[in-house]
Amino acid sequence: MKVIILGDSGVGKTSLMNQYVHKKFSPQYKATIGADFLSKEIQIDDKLVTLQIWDTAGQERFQSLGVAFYRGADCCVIVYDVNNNKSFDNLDHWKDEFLVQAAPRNKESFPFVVVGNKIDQDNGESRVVSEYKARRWCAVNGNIPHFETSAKEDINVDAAFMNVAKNALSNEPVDE
Amino acid sequence: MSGGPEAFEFESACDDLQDKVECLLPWQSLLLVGAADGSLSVFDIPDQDAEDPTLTLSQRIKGFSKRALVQLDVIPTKPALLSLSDDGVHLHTLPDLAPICTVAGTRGASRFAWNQEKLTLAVAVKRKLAFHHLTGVEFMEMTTMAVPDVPLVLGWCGDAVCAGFRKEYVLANPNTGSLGDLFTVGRAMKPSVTPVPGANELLLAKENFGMFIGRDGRPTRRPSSALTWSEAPLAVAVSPPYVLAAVLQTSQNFIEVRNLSPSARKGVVQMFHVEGPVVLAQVAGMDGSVYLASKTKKALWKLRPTALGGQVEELMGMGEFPDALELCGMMPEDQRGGTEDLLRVRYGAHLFSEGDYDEGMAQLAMHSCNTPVLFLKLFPSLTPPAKMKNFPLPVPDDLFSDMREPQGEERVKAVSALLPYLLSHRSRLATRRREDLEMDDEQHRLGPEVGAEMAESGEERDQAVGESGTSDKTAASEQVMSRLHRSRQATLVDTAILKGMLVCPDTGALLQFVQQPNFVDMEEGRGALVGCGRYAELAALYQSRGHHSEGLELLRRLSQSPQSFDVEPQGVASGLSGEMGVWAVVRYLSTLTEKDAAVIQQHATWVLKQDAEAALQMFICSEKRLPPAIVLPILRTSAPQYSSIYLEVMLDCGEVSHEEYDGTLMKIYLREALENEQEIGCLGQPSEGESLDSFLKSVASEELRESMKNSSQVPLFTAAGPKKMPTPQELEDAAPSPSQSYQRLKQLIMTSPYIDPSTALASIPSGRLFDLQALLMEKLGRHKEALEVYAQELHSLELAEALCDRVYESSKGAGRGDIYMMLLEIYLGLKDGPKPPEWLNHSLWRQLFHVLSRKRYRIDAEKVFGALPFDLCLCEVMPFVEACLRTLAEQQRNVGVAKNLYSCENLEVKERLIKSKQRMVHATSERACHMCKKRIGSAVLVAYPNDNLAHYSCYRRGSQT
Repeated sequence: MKVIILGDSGVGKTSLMNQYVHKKFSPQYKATIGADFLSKEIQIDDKLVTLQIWDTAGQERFQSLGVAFYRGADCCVIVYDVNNNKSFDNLDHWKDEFLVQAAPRNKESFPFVVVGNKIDQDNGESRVVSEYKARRWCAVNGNIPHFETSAKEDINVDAAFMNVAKNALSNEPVDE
Repeated sequence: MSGGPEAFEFESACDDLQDKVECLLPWQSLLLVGAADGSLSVFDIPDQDAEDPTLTLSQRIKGFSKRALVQLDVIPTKPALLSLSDDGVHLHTLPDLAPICTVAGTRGASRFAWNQEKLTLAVAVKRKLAFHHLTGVEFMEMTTMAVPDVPLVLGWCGDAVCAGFRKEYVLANPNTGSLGDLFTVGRAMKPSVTPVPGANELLLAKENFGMFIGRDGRPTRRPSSALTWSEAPLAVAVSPPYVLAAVLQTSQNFIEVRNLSPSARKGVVQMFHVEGPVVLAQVAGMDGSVYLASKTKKALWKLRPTALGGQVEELMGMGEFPDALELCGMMPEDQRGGTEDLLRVRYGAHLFSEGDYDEGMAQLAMHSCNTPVLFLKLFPSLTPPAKMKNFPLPVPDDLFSDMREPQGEERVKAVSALLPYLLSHRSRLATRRREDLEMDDEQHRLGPEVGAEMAESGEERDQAVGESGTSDKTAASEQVMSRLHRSRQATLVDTAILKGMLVCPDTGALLQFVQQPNFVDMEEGRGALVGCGRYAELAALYQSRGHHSEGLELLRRLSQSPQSFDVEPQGVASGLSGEMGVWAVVRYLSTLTEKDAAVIQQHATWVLKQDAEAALQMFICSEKRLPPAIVLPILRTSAPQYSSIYLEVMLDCGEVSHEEYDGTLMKIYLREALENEQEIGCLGQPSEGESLDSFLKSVASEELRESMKNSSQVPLFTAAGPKKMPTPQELEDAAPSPSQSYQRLKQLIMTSPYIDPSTALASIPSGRLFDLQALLMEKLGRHKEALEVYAQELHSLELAEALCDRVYESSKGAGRGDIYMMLLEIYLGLKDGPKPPEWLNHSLWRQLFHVLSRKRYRIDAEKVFGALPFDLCLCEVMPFVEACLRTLAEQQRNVGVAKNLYSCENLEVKERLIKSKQRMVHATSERACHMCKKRIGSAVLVAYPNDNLAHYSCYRRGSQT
């Protein structure tokens, strides 16, 4: 199953993926070049599922090849930083970008999951995007599941990805 | 019947049992056998490697229990043996089997279940469940619960106990005392409860289905994935990943082996026929062996699991890849490496050949070796096999030997599944490259010694790809090798991406790809792109790789002769004929720098001829502007008319400094002026509105001069921002007429502090552009020469006069009027010269003297008259004479008026004096002379300024003394 992680540069997409797959976190920030993926096998209900998580670069200049990565996706995770309003405001942009580029057949019902990352930062002192606000956005945009995580402290990461996997499983493949 | 590999091997473990077996329990290397007569036998299990699998009886305790032993279990932590017979549950030490205690109130119990987590024993005694807690060596009864029937089987399920009756299963929770129905047992009335080791699940038999429930009593699997036995099981045992069930099928006894995992293939894995009913040990031994004993024959058998690796390979050989993967996942991590990799590749290749490209690629991607070669091997059309010879496959080569690359529509699908993986390898290679660079920087920064250490630690990081340095030297050379290998790999990957994108529908991604820095093999890339007519992409590739001359030449061909290609231009290239192509060239050229000057010149030249607007746009408006040192020669040869306007704009927007380029600009203007001397027309006559005189006057003003020093000339475009560039259209419109350009030349010469007037003067050919010469001479202070030029060459008295005025106004001192004398002397000199010119006629003299008459206040008339020759006709001098006379009369009048005014003033002063001297002295009869102190009376008196009075006589006397 193919999962795409999108979101602004520096919100922690790669960290989330690494924490989930390798249980590792590096505080050093390195911009992702292009796109790469990690695989993890998980058991959902009575199915053994290989989750292939594609991490894309948030920086604009790497996005041109997006369509190559998006095709065949079963779920799309959009990540924002709860300490950064702009990254939250860009959720719309990323959702539209994905729908345009991937052109899934079931545009209306394609599963998205929204993840607010970095809730650990300054013990939550620097948070600017409230959970309420995020949930409201998710509700308006077709009841998208919403999770707040910390890749650094490994808070809620497994739960978020488990939900992603379940959503992906419920989705029909984009093509075929 | 069974389709898979052998999961178990059937072995005889003992064929001379003395007792009728009731229950079996493997514990460590022992097998405990409880018999119907109450005796307990202890067998030693031979080592796995032992040749003879037969068990050896090590101990047999006859009368271990008074009644038949029904159930055995172990408390592993003590360790101790729990045994159940009709007279209750007993606890014995292990392995000595010394009695510890008997659990009170368990006489007549039918079943028990031990919970190691809670140290609680649940015992079914008739129609109730008793719960005992183990404290030290004693069981304390905690609670009892009544149940509807006699439990036949028991099993812990979280906090509760699942009890199986003849007809149903219930869940009894000792903490809450609640009883909950689960489901019925079915017609078979054979309840069975089997704990699944390590899964927190209980396997319950319902008819011939095996249902799994979790700790909360809820089903953990969908009904569709329940186990399905051929008949209701008589006994069930679990040996992961399999579950074994004893079934009676058409009065034959069988052991059915099935997969425990929900995701594995359903159906029987293996089936054993056994003679007569059997007793099955519910738990497996340490090596996964399941023991069973015949109820009719006195024999013990063993089902020994075959090695998983072997099973995996067998499954793989049969093409049952998902099952093989499942089994592989059960193998210890350190053993499965090679097997799993091989499995992934074979599965991937299989899926690929089935047309499931996405899943196939996903499997290949799970190979532990991080190499794109695996993928590329499937697409010989994207990477010629010859190019792959430096990249050995991490799996046997023949795996791919019968693979065929799909064609047509299928190929597009396959390639679009491939591309993300190639791109991800590209990302990985790029990341490694960045790390290499960072490491180099670090080494560089830390100096050579520490750098070497860094290299070593870097190697440690690299061990994942099989690099390890024994010494610094080999480490370094291996590092170089691996970098070389990676760069070759990058070429392989990038070239395949390019070819792959050519296969897929054009979304513009290919263009974007080749525009980025890449490592595409130029020869192959060029061939592939040309073959598809994708010349725009090829040009972009040339550009990103710095092959500018080829790239530009290609664009030129696209623009100028698109029909000259063998393969018709496709995609973006098809829209690049004509003007669009010119603009593409312009955009391309705009990205180049000085070092590509030659190629810029080559292409800018034809672009200028083709579309001057585009070319100017390139020179002026592009982000990275070319230096004028490159642009000017191009313009000079191809479009000289734009040279000046180009340079003016460059100067205006501060792109180049006036200091450097004012001289160049002057030369350009000068060249234009010389070329267009005729057109400039009436020389020296300021054209089109702006009078030179007024301009020069404004130039003279200090303020403006100051602003000129700050390098800003009169701006060509009154733009809002200082850096705003004009559009090429505006530029073309702004291209000056020759006379305007000449104006600007003069302006530049007069205002720029960076132009040396003498050099400028020297660069004007003699006999040309006299007014300019005069201006320069004036600037140099050579006034006489300038006046001579005005007089002799330009015949312009106005200009000469203007020059004189400027000189007069800018100088100080008494002699400053001499400049006008100089003017006069020049004309007189001409007249007295060997050949007086014809134009020096009557009217000119009159004009000259009119001029002088206007300046009469500035000049000494006497000097003028003194200089006039006698042969000059009076009527010619008349204007001046008249003016002088008029001036004299005027002066006389003025003096008269002044004199009268002065005398008038004098009178006024006198009157004021008198008025100011007037005073009043009060003389009464009472007042006395201040000298003689007598009364004044009517005598003559004198008044002093201090108002004292005195007799005149006294005064006279006083003054005489």
